[in-house]
Amino acid sequence: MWYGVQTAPSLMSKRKVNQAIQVALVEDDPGVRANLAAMLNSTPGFQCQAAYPDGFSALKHIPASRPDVVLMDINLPGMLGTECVRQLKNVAPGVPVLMLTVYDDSEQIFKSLMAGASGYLLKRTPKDKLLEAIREINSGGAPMSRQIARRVVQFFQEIEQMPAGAQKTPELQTLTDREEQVLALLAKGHAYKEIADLLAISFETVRTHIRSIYEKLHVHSRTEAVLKYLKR
Amino acid sequence: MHDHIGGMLTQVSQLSDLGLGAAPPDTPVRAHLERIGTQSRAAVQALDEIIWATNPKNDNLPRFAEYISRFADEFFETSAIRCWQEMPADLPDLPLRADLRHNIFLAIREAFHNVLKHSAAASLWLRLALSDRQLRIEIEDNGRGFDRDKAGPGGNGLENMRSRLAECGGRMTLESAPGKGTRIQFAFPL
Repeated sequence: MWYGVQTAPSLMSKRKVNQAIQVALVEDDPGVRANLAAMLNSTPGFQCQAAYPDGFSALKHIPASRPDVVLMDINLPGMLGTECVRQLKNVAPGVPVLMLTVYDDSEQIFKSLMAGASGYLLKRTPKDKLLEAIREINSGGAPMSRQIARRVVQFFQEIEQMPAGAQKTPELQTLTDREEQVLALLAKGHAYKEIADLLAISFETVRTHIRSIYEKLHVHSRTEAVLKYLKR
Repeated sequence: MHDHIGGMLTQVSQLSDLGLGAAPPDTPVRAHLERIGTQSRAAVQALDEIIWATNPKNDNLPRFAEYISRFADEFFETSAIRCWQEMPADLPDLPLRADLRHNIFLAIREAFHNVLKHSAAASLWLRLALSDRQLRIEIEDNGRGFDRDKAGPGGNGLENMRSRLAECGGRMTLESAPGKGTRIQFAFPL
């Protein structure tokens, strides 16, 4: 904890409570882009701050414009959304990214999450659910589907079975028992609130576990062993 | 090509949402807009299914399990039925032929339709287990069940499922009784 010129934390939280959530779009299809912007701007509490047609312009502007949430298409031309989110995490850390995809392409989705995305949605998701997901991510949430939960468990199992030389770099971490329990309940179909009750922990602690799992994935994605895994 | 169609249909569903946002409450146009949304989403979902069925990258057990898991989620998402799943996270990377996985998928979808239409269940369990290269998929609900000796609803559907399983060299078993829910099991060799 430190104190300084930025008594910013309190200002920040006030801003988030009172003002519209600033959303940046990265989407190449002009029609989808316009519809998403219209959905945001016609809903109180949301504002489309900017809309970029490709990853390059997003990388150029987002570090300075600091939106609250970025919605990013997975299938961008030129630079894939997966690559864009990876670079964005370096130049604008702390700006959460929600991936959007037309089809349920589990490979690209998992790669985006490894690259640092905070979740994903299908583009056909109805408006109310889309807005709910943005709100959730803006308030520090980390949504995870049960398919991803299973994939994460599988991923860490494979990491642990890798030859000792490949995995024993200091930043490679495994899941804690608690994190494994959370993932197992998630995979079965329990909501975060139910997981909190079942494990006798708070809702916020469940979220913290999920965020930490995402963070471990993200750390792993930078190691060579995992790059090999992803290229299979 | 399919990316383009998927993108256009996605726009239709988004525009129906935008229309709903602007339509006055309690007017018949709302029902039409809602239907445009549901239908266009169903169309993208159908395309999703075709892409999945034809992509050879999916010809293996883990991809198959993942697909039926999210299909189940989307299928029951807007219903009153809660979908529970018990699926191993460590399924081996066994090959699964395209015709086989598609047949089994269609049988599962048929079973889901029956649960949705006839069971009045509160919960459904989707279980998948592998032992000795025999895959077992179980769909159980806690709904009203039915008497198997009386020709109940969905009789044709049951026959369809049975023949789909037979085509895959597998078999289907069914347990149900009035008030006792229904349990369907598909078993086939990999």
